[in-house]
Amino acid sequence: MGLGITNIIIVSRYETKLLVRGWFFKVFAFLALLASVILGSIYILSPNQQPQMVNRSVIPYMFMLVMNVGQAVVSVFLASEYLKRDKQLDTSEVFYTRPLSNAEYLIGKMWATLKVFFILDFVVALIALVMSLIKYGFDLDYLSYIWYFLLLSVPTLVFIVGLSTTLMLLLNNQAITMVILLAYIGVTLFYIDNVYYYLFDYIGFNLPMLKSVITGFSGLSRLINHRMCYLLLGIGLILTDVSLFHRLANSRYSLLPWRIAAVVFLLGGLFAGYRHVRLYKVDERYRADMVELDNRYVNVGGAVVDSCMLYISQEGDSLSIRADLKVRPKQEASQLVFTLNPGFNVGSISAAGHSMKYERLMHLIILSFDNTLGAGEPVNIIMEYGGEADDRICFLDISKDKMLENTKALSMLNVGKRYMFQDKDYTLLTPESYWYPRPGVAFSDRSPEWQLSYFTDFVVNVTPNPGLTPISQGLCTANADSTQYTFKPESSLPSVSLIIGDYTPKSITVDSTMYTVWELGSWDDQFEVFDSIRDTVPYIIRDRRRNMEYQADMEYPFKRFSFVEVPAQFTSYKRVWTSVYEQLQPEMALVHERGFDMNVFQFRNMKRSWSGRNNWNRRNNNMSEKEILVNILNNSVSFMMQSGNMSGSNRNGQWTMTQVDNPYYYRPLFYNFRYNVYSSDWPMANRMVESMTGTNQNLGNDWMRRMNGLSEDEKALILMGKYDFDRIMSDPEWEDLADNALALKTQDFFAPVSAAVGFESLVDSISAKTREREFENVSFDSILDWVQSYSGISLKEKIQAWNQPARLACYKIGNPVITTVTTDTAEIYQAEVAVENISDNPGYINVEFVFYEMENAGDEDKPKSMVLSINPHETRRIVTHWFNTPSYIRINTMLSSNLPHDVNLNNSDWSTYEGTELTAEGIYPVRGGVDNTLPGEIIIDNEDSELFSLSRPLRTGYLSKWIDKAKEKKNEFIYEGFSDWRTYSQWTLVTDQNLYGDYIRSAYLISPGDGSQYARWSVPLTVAGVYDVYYYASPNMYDNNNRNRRWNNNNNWNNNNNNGRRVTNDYNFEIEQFNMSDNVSMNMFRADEGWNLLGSFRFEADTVRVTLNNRSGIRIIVADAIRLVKRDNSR
Amino acid sequence: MSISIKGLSHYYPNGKRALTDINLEIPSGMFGLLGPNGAGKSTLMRILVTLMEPSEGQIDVCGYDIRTQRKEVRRILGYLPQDFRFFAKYKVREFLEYAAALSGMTNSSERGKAVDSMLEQVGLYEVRDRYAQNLSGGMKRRLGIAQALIHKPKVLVVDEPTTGLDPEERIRFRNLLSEASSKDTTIILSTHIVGDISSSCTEMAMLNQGQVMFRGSPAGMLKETEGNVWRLKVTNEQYAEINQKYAVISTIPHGLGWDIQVVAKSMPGYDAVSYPPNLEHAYVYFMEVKDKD
Repeated sequence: MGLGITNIIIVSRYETKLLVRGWFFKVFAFLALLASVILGSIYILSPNQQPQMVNRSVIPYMFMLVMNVGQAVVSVFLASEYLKRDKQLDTSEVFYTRPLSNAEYLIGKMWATLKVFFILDFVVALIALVMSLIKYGFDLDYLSYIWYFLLLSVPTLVFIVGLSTTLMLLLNNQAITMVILLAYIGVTLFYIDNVYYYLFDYIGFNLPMLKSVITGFSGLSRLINHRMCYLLLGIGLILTDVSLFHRLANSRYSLLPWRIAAVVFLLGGLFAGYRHVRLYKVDERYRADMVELDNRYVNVGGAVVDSCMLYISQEGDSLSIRADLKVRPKQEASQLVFTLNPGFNVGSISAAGHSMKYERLMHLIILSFDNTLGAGEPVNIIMEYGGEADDRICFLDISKDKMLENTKALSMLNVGKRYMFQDKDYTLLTPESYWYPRPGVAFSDRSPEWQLSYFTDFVVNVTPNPGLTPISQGLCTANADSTQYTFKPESSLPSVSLIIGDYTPKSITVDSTMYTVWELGSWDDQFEVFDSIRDTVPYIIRDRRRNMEYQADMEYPFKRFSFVEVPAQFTSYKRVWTSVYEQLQPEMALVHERGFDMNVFQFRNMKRSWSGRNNWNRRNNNMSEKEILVNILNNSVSFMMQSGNMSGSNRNGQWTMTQVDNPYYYRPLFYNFRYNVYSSDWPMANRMVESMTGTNQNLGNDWMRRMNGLSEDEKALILMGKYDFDRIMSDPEWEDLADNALALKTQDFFAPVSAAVGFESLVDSISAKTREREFENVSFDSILDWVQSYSGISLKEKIQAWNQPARLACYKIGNPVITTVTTDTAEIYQAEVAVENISDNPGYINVEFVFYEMENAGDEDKPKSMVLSINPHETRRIVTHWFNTPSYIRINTMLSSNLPHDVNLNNSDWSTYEGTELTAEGIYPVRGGVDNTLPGEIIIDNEDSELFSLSRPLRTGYLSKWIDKAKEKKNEFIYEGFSDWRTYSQWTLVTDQNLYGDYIRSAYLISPGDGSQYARWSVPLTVAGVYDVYYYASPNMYDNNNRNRRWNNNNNWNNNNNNGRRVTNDYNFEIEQFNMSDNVSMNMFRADEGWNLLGSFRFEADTVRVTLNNRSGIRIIVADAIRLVKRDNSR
Repeated sequence: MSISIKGLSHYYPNGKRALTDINLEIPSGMFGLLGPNGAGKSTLMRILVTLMEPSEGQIDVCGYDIRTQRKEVRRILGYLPQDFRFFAKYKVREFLEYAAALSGMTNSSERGKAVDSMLEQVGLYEVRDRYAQNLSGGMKRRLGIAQALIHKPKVLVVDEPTTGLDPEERIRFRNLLSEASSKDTTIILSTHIVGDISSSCTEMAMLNQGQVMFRGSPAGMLKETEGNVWRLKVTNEQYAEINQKYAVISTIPHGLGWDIQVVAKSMPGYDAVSYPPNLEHAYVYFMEVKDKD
C-alpha cells in the first residue's frame, strides 16, 4: 500500500495545470472572485451596515458558505471531467503504463481538484480579510477564517469529489453522473433542510454554524461530528475509487489494503452520521421521558415558594448552589415535587436541620415528609446541589420541529439556538433552565397545572469565578474585594435569572431608576456615539419611559432596567400560556451580542444613515447632530413598544403573512412580572386577564387578511368551531393562532358582563382590581367574584364549557339606514343597523359607530361602542343619534362563522332618508329578521351549493393533481388570499367584505383564459314573466389598477389574449332557458360596486341558467352572486 | 531472451477469442508484429504493456512476470499507443516532463536535462513551449516516441506508429526507432504496413485471427514464400477467371490484357513464370495461401 507522496505531488501538480487552464474553472474562479467583491462591497464596505456584521465571524462564515455552494457544484464537473478525459484519450494509457500505483494516480488527481478549490477559498478568504481590515481595522475574528474553512469547505469538497468520482467510475457516464449529483445537491439545498437533524446537509448550508463573539460555536462537538461524517465518507469514497479505477494494479494484492482502508473510513463516516442522529434522538428520548415523568407527577405535591435564598459559588465550569426555600403546599400533602435542572447533582436536602427523604428522578425532586403537611403550612427546606446544567430541560413544551427550525441571519447564516450557557467564562441561566428548584413539574401535556407560577421573595448571593461579574435581579451589593455579590429585589418576583461574565456596566440614573447597559467587550463603542448628548440622555429616557407608561396605562414597577449583552445564539419561543419571552426578564432585556441582528442598537450606522438623509433633505429639514442623536436614541428605545412585525412565509405552497412577535415587547416588564392571576381549574386565567387588560396591537390586519384569505381571528374561529380549545392551544401547527383563539374566547367569556356594563367599564374594573395586588398572587376566583359583585353576573359556570368546541352563531347584517331629522334646535342624524342571528346558537356582537377623523364628528358626538347579545333567530336593531353622520359602522361578530368576521359598513353605501320623527336611541327587537331583498327578487350566491356550480378545473398532469390533493388535505381553511399580481389557474374561493353574501361574503376568482372555465347560477323560477338580471360586482376589492386605468380610456379598452384573439374587458355571460340562450357582455371598467343590470329577459316558470365564462381581457374573473327581479305585472 | 510469451490466450467477456495459444520469444532489437486489422496485435500489445490481463498463459518481460510484477515491468516499459492524442492544455515540454516524472525521474534538474535532450533528439526542442495540440501529426508522433523513450526503457512497445504519416515523417520515425533499438532496447513494432517491418526489423512474427502464422526473420519469411509467386500476362477474360481463383497482388495494363503477379502454390494451365517474392508477397502468402489446399 506504500503511498508515494512524490508521485501524488507530481500527478497533482500537472493535473492542477490542466484544471486551472480549463475554461470551466477560469469562469468559476472569476465568478467566485467577483461574487466575493460584490459580497464584500454590500456587506463589509457599504456604509449601510447590516447589524449582524458586528459579529466579525459572520464575514468568513458568509463568504465560505457562498463559496462552498458554488464549489460543491463546480467540483462535480471537474471531478467527473478528468475521468471522462482519461476515458476518451489513449494518451492516458501512456501514464497508466508508468510504475506509479493506482492510488497515487487517483489521489494525485483528486488532490489537484481539492487543491485548486482550496487555493480559491484562500483567495476569497483573503479578499474578505482585506476588506474587513479596511473597514474594521484589526478587530477581527481571525481564527474563524480557519474554522469555517475546515468546517465548511474541506468536508464538502472531499465528500463531493469522492462521490462524483465513485459515481463516474461506477456509471462510466459523465452526463448521468452530473444529473444525479446536481439533483442531489439541489435536493440537499432546497428540500432536505433539517431532515434527520441536518444529516444530509453535506454542504453545511443549513447547519447552525454562527460563532458567537462571547461563547463561540453552539454545539461545536456535534458540528465537528457532522462534518467528520462527510470528511470520512469522502475519504472512504476516494479510497474506494482506488479499487474501482479501471487500470490494472501494480500487483495482484496491492488493492487489498486500500479496500480495507476504504471500508474503515466509510464505516467511520457512517458511524459519525449515525452518532449525529443518535445524539439528537437520545436528547429527544430524554425530553420525552421528562415529559412522561412530568405527566406522572403533574398533580402531585404542588406548592408555593414564598421565599428563595440562593447561594451560588462558581467553581470553574461548575456551579455549587444552596437554596433556602420557604414553601407552602397548595393542598394537604405528604410529598412535594420540585423541578431542578437534571444536570445538577443534588448533594443534600434538609428541613429544620434534618436530612430529608427525597427521590431524584431526572429533573424532578420528590420530597417525602414523615407527616402530612396541611395546605398552606409553611416548611423551610434547604437544598444543596451543583454541577453543570443540562439544556435539554428547556422548552419541553416546544415541538422538536419548532426547535429545529433555522434561525437565519442575513437570510443565509444559520445562527443556531441555545437556551442557556454555562462554562467557566460565561454563564446565562434563565428560569427556563430551572437553575434553582421550582415547585411543580416543568411541562405536562395532560394537565395545565404546570403553567401556574407564583411570586416569590428572592435573594441571590453569588461568588463568581475570579474576574467575572454576576448579574441578577434586585439591588446589588458586593463585598469589599468584589468577590461576593448579593442581589435583593425590592419586591417578589415570578422568577430570577443568573448571568455571569466579564461584564462592564454603563449606567445612568434617571428619576431614581438605574438604567444600565452590561457589555462584554466592544459593544460600548456604539454607545460612545451619545457622549456628545450625555446631558440630554436623561431627558430622553424620562420621555420614553413616560410614553411607555402612557401606552401601558401603568407605571414601570422596578427600580432598575438593564440591557444585558448575551450570545447571539440565545433564543426562546412563543408560548401559548404566556406572552413573555425569555429575552425579557424582570428588570432586564437580554440583547444579542453587540446588538447582533438588531438595527436599533447599531447607533453608529444609524447616525451615518440619519446624517446622510439629513444632507439629502438639507433644504427642507436640516437637523443638528444633537437632534439626530436624540432621534436615534428615541427610536432605539421605541423598538420595545412594537409588539411585532409582519413576516411572509410559504406554507403548503401558499404565501401567507404572519405577525412575528417582538420578544422585547415591553409589556411583560410592566404587567407579567408584576401581576399574577392564578387558578388551578383554569391555568389560562392569567393570560386571559392579561389579554383583557392589555392593548392588542393588530398589525396590518386588513391587507394581511387580503393576502392570507382569512384573518387570524377568522382562522382561529374556524378551528374553535371544530376542535376542543386545548387541542387548538397545543397543536404546533396552529401556534400562531393561539393568541387569537384565546383573545376571542376571553372576549366571549366576558361578553355577558360587557353587554351589561360596557366593555371599557369592565376592563377598567378588572384592571383596578388587579392593580391593588402588585407582586402578589391573585386568585382568579376573586376576580370573578369582584366582577359578579360589580355587574351582578356570575361567570363561573361558563368555565365548565371552556374546553368544548365553540358554538358559533351566524349573523345577517342589514343595510344601515341614516335618517335626517330636523328638530327645533338642530339637524339630527339617526343611524341604525339591524342584525339577525340566523343560527341556532346564541351569541354576542360588538357594534361600533366610528368617525375616520374626530374632526368630522359633530361637537357633541362621541364614538359609540356596545356589546349586545342576540339569541338564535332573533333580530335586533341598534338606533343611535348624531350631529354628523358617522363614517362607518364596525360590527365585530365575536364567536361567529361570519366571514369576514369584522364588517365595516361605510356610510357611502347606507340608505338615506329624510324623516320627521326620531326613534329613541337604543336596541330594539325586530320581527321578521333582516331582509335585504326586494319583493319578487331571487338571489343566488356562490355559497349556494345546490344552485351554484363551477366547471371542472383544467388539470392534465398527475403531479399537479397530486399536489392539489396534498394541499387540500393539509389545509383547514378553504378560503385563499387574494393579490392583484397572482394568477388563479382554477376557481379560487376568497372572502371580502365587498363581496356579496348572507354571512359569508365570498366569491370565486379565476384568471382570464379561453372561455372553457365557467361559473353557473341556476335560478329556479316559479312564475313566468319579464325579469331584470343583475350581476354583483365588487370592483373596489379586486380591480384597483384597472379601475384607475378606465378613467384614461373612455372607450372600451381592448387587447389581445395569448392566442392572438381580440378580447375585451367585458365579462361574458350566457343566459339560457329551454335551449334558448342570449349572450350578454358587461364592461367591467364601467361596472358599479354592487348589483349591475345585465338585461331584461322573458322567462317561463322553469330554471334559468346564467353562465359566466373566463374569456376576458381583464385581470380577474369573479363569480359572486346573480339576482333576478321580476318586473311588476309582467307575465 | 527479452520477452517470453508462453501459451498466451485471451478471451473477451462476450466469449470471443482474441488470442489463441501464442508462444513467442522476443529478443533484443526491433521486433515486428505484422498482421491485418483485427488480428489481435493491439490486444497482444496491451497485454504486454500491462493494460490488460491475459486470460491464460505466461509472459515474462526481462525476467519479470507480467501478472505479479507489474510495477517492475512498468519501470522498464515504454509505450506509444496507436491513437495518441494529447491533453489539450499541456505544452510540449510540460507533457514530456510529466511523463518523465511519472517514470521515476524525480530529480528535477536531471529530469530537465533529459527532457531537453530528448526534445533535441526528436527534433521538437524548437517547439517545446507550444501547446501539444498545436503540433503537426508527425511532430505529435515524435512527441509520443519521446515520452516512451524519456526514461530509457528496456522494452518499447509501439503500436501502428506510422499510420497516417507522410513518407518523410515515416522515414524519420523509423530512424528514431532504429536508433533506439541500437541501445540494447527491445522494440516491438506492431503494424499492418509491411514496409515498416522490412525496413527496420530483424525479427518478426505475423498474427492472423489471434494466432501466430509466422515467426522468424523477414528473410526467412521471404524464403518460405519462394516458388509461390507468379508473373503472367493475361487477357481480360483470363484475368477475371484468375482473380476468382487466386490472390492477385499486382495488375499492370499491358496491350490488350494485363501483366499480373499472383501468389499461389501453383498456376496450372497458365503461362506463368516464377517470380522472386518480396515481404508483401510473403504477407499475402501467409495470410491467404499457405494453409489453403
